[in-house]
Amino acid sequence: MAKTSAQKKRPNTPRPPVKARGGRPAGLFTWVAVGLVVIVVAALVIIKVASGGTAKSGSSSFTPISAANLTALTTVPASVFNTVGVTSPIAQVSSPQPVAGQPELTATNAAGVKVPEVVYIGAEYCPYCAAQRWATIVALSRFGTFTGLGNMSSYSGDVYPNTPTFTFVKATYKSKYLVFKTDEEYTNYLDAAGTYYASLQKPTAQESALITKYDTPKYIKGLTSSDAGSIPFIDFANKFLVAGASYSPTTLAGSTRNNIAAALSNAASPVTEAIIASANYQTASICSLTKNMPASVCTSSGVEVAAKAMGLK
Amino acid sequence: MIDATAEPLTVESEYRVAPWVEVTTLLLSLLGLGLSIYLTITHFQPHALVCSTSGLIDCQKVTTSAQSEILGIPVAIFGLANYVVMTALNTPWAWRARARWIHVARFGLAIISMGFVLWLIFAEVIIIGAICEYCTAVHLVTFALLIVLTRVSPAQLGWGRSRAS
Repeated sequence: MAKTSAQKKRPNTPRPPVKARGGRPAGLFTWVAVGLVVIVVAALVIIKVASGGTAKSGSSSFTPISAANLTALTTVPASVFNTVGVTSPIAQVSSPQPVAGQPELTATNAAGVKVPEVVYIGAEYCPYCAAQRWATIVALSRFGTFTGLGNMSSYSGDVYPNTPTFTFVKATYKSKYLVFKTDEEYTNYLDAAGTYYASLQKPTAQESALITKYDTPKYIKGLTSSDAGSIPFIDFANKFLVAGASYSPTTLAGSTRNNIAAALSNAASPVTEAIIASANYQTASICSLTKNMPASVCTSSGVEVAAKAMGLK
Repeated sequence: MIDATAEPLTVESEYRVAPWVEVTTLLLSLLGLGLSIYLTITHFQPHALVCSTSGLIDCQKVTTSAQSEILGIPVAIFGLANYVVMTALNTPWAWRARARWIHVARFGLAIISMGFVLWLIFAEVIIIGAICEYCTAVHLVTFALLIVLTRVSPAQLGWGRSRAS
């Protein structure tokens, strides 16, 4: 019995910590592991450097929008909006299409308030997205503030090559009226295999669900089943939809980014007319979501003309 | 009756290691866990990411890339799951456990994690062309854990000894 009780007691002197005894030194495994990791990482760096830094056919560098262009885009004079209205003699401009009977898409803004959500899905290579961004940025700048916009051009080998535009890839948007979420799915250059554009931002589950459901002939008039899922796709809180550019990218052909931006204060410019007409349509759509707030924007004559043309008033 | 010649029943685990190993691996695991939680949050809320977004260091480009998910599951979730398990395996209780499988699992997970990290480095350097500094911090923590565990685990498990000894 005495032996039994002694066996259950913790020994007074604990066992010494494990050390390698005999055979391979304990450090051998460590050196092997470190060596393998270092070799693999070094090989990756060498491959990267040897391939000229990038195996892609284009540039992946991000260039922020210039201060002058940001100002031109976000502070278009009210007189230009009101003078243009929805008049665009050179380029045909289409409005967002209303959707009936769908639950409003909402999100919580930075202040913790539930507001309508606008979702943009596009790609940097896409010339139609290139045209659309100009008007969308101008329209949304009437409700909030963009930061992180970058310069971009559509793919050089596609239709309407090198259409000057901007990218939302690093953009953030702050507004007390709405939340704006963006997804640039692809870059404007081909991937290493040269088979398609390099991937950029993967759509969230919510974005994928929206494009699957709404970017279809059922909700977009004039869209064929083969065009389902086309970009740019903009969902204004499930109440208005844009699929494809609101005006042709050819409108911007031959103009530089700086020239287009600078002309936004000139209501007589055909390029400005196309951009501003589309911006007024989008603004009218957003105003119907924000209950006509801010009033200074939503009751302006240019927006009211657009709302009337869309049958909203 | 108890056989007096039987091996004494001791409370101490035969897998016990030096205290510095327990402390170091737990701290590294907690650091990796914290970083993984942050990266998981920022995967779903990209605007919450505080990081350089230009040049080679571009967290957002990495955490929103096509390679940020595998089979539809965010890589950040894999990292979080790894460090939840790794932290549990590196608690003092786990280190003093008598069950051999716990010590095998810890070492095995460290090796698997390092392999996964090498794939992620490949994705960042070769495919995406950008590096995420928080991801790199997790990679370094994983590497540090591997170094510590390769230092002690083979001997702890008896793999560092020759059959003759």
